[in-house]
Amino acid sequence: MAVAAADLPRKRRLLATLGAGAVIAAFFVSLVLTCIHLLRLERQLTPHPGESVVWLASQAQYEAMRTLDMVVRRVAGDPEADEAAVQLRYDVLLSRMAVLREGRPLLRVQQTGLEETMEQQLAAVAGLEPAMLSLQPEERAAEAMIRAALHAAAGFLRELANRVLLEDQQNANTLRQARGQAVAEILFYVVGVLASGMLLMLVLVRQRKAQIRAEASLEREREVSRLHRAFVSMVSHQFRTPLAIIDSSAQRMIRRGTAMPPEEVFSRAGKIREATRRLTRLMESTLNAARLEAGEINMAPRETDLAALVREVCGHQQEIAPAALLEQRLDGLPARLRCDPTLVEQAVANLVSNAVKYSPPGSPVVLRGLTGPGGSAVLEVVDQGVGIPADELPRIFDRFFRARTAEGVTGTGIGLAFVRHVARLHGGEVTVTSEEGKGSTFVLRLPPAPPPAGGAQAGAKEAALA
Amino acid sequence: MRDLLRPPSFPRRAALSLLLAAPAHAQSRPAAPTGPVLLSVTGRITRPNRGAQADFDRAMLEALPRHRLQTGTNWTSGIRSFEGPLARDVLAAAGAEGERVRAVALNDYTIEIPMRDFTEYDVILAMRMDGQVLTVRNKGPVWVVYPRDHHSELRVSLYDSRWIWQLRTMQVL
Repeated sequence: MAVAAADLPRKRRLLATLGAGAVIAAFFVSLVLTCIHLLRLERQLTPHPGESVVWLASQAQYEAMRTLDMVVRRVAGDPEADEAAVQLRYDVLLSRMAVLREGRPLLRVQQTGLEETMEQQLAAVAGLEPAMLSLQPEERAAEAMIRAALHAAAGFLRELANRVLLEDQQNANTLRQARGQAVAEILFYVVGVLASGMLLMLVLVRQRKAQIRAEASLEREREVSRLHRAFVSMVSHQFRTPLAIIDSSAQRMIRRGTAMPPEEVFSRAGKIREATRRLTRLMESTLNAARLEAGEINMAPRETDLAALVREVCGHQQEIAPAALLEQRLDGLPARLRCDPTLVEQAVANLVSNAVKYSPPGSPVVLRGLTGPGGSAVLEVVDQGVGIPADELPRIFDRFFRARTAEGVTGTGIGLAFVRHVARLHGGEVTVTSEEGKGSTFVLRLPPAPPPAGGAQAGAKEAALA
Repeated sequence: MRDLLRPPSFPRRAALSLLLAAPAHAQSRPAAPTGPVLLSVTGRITRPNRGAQADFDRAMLEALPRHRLQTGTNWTSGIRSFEGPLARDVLAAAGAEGERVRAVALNDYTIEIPMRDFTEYDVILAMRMDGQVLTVRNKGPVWVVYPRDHHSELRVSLYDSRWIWQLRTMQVL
């Protein structure tokens, strides 16, 4: 049931993890793509071809004017402007124009759509060759013809530079905008990656927490089941002996019938009664354990004379085991203490009966009462019995736990757990010091008044879970 | 192809330039050009042949070890094959001693080139492209050509501006 119920959120969590992972992957891919896009844009921003066309066109325009200047000087009869000088300037002009017809400059010119016009202008300038080479002083007609062609060429070159420059500015603008957009996109994706990464982390953390919780509850279930098994084995084992005693006594009495002397009947009946008392104690203890388990023990605190209570407990104990040596030094106890007398009585009875039970006959048990800081009550129960092995001390107050040294002695392993539970319900504590083979000292501390109900309840729950 | 026309190895080249720069040789004036002058090296030179400058005609330039270089350019399409002497050989022939060269073209375009370019790279003064003699109409007669296809660091606009064509004068600074 619990597993089936846990299945649904687990499925949902898996989906959430996968979803967040997919979102991160998608953002990441987009980020990479946008970065590539941006890099491509950056490369386009390097405005090499356009700039160079503007420069080349201006150079060609300058050469056109220089050529024209040389032609004018030649026609005017300038002695420096000889045939070779005219030819050089004309050749340079042709070369400067030819540069625009090749390689990257040509590609850029083609983009402006002025390629055809350029070819016409080039053809016109190239067509000047015969006139140029045969140009003589005073040839005004040739000069006018050359002037017209070179002016047209220069005008075209100026137009070309202008167009390319404007287009480049526009391109740069578009590129800048595209770049800005790409940068914004990158930022968006980065934020997306971060956000979805955080989401994924959150999901994972919550999953981990749920897992820890599940593990803890599983551990608790295991513990409960272990306790249950221990309880069952303890009960069957502990109940068998008194039941066997009762059965065998009854059998003897049936077999012998009236032939049995009255003394033996009396002794047999006494054994049966003793076994029945043990069974009753076991049953009470078991019931306590069940109530402890269910957290059903409620406190009814009232003003109590603790010393009187302890004396009464010792009286009962003496009745059960007349041979026990109980030494009571209870004068140190506070006169009045607010506690649940029924619970405290049972707890003290457990401590005293334990001390007697695990001591050899005739060995003394000392009960010492003190007043602790703030008016708390401190009751020490000191025996010289079998003691508790050091390695088992930490577990001695656990339910159903019985020390190795307790083997062969009737007991449920509930008594000390109950004592601790009662002590904690009162806001107090029980502690132990012991040496194997030499004896144990249990110290029960109770505050002058138990804590308010809420705290006690919490303490009870904690004790029930322990 | 390039290997066939390999220039002298570096030690030989160093020895050659040392010889050329030696005072004994500086005193013997190198031959003067007989044809039209294509290139003049001026400024800080030790082997002038006309006044303070060293003039070269086509025959003189072609007499220097010829180097062939195949490369694409920013101003032509496809890979072209250029031929001509190494720039450093021409400068050594003029006994140039300087850090920079101010190169001037027929159209008065001027650019300064660090001497290091010529020592580090096999920059040639191309006089032929694809076997055809370069004329003034086609970036000739002398075009500074960098081996841009062989060195990626040369493929930037800084170096593009040093590809001066219609080279007429190299002033050593």
